[in-house]
Amino acid sequence: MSEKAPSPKIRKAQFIAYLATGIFLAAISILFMLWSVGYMERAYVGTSLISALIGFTLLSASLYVLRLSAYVYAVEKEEKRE
Amino acid sequence: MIRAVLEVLPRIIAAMLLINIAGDVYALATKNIFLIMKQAPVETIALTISFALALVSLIIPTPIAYVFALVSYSTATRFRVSFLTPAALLSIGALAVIDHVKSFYRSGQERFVKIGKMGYLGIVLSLAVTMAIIVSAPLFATTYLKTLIQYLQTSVSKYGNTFLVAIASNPFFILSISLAIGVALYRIVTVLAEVIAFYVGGSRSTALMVLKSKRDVDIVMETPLTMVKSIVFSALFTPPIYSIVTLFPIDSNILRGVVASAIFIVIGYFMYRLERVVVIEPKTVLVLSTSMLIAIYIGGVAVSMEIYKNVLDALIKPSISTIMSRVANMYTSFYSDIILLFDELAKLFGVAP
Repeated sequence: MSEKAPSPKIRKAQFIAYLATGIFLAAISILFMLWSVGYMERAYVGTSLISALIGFTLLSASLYVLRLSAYVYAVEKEEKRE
Repeated sequence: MIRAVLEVLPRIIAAMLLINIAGDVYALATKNIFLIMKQAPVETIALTISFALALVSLIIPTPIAYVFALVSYSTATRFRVSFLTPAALLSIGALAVIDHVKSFYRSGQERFVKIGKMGYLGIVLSLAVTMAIIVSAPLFATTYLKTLIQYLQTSVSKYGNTFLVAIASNPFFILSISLAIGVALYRIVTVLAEVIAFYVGGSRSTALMVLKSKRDVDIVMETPLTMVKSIVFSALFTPPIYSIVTLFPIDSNILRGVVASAIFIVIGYFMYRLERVVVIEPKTVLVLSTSMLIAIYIGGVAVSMEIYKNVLDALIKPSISTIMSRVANMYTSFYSDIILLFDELAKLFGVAP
């Protein structure tokens, strides 16, 4: 029972989950980067550098997920064609 | 026909740069060259180099020579002519595309491909997206860096702390910050380009190869800010060890600071390694805190033994305050040594009087 393959509808949507996660993380990271500029403008140097660091960390995570989504999309696309 | 276009187009782009540079070189040549060499040596040398490189890129149209010619030319004009304008970036992108096509193209083997209406749209769209990425990525990176560093300098100068201002306006500091952020942005742009390429036209075999390879997928996720944590632990544990080391007296201020920071780095690295092994549980926390209390008690007893000369009195009345002040002395002497080292270094680099 557990070895039954998922239905094609679910399979088709797999890369969208990765894509949504990646875009969500990217949006938050860009928000943090903008906040870092804003903090620097108000002379909170430490807060600004920390939020820039958080932004870059989140951005690397989002890029990793986006890469995965691209690979999964490429695999699924060819599967559909077959 | 296509071969001729591929050969001529990059030369036209290079010639446009060469005309710009030639005007400046002509203006230089009509003046007294020795006087200008004395007044602005860097600009003159950069202009000469850019002229030579532009000539090279006219003869052998490579993107690298063109990029270096652009950079040295904008250095020569003190960045009056920026190399980060959309036109310059577009020409670099066009040169790169032409260079790539030329290396794969074989003359006499062109074939006509039937392209539908959507096909033309696709070609135009993909070219436009590529060019947009080539232009917007460096512009975004430089704008972000520029605003961050500008705000850093203005905000620091608001405080009126001369030492901080000296650090923030130090070109090496700015260079290191911009290099660090630049490397991060470069990685981001390359990964983004890979993602877009895979969405536009990814192949199943390549994707499966990457997805199946353990090196790319099974990476150990490191908790962010572990390094900061190990630095904090190192700041806690290093002073006692340093106080044991300084039982051998060291005369020089700088040497003491160097020894202190070396021990700090070693302990920090050790903590960084240790943190992956040790799991913090309630039990370890209990053991650590109890042993800490016992160590303080034993230290207090040892100190009061010197005063009372009696074991029972010492056990009942351990002098906690004395041992605590000694520990505090340890920490202050350690950090004063490190601050003295930084002061000497600042004097050495000329950022402090």
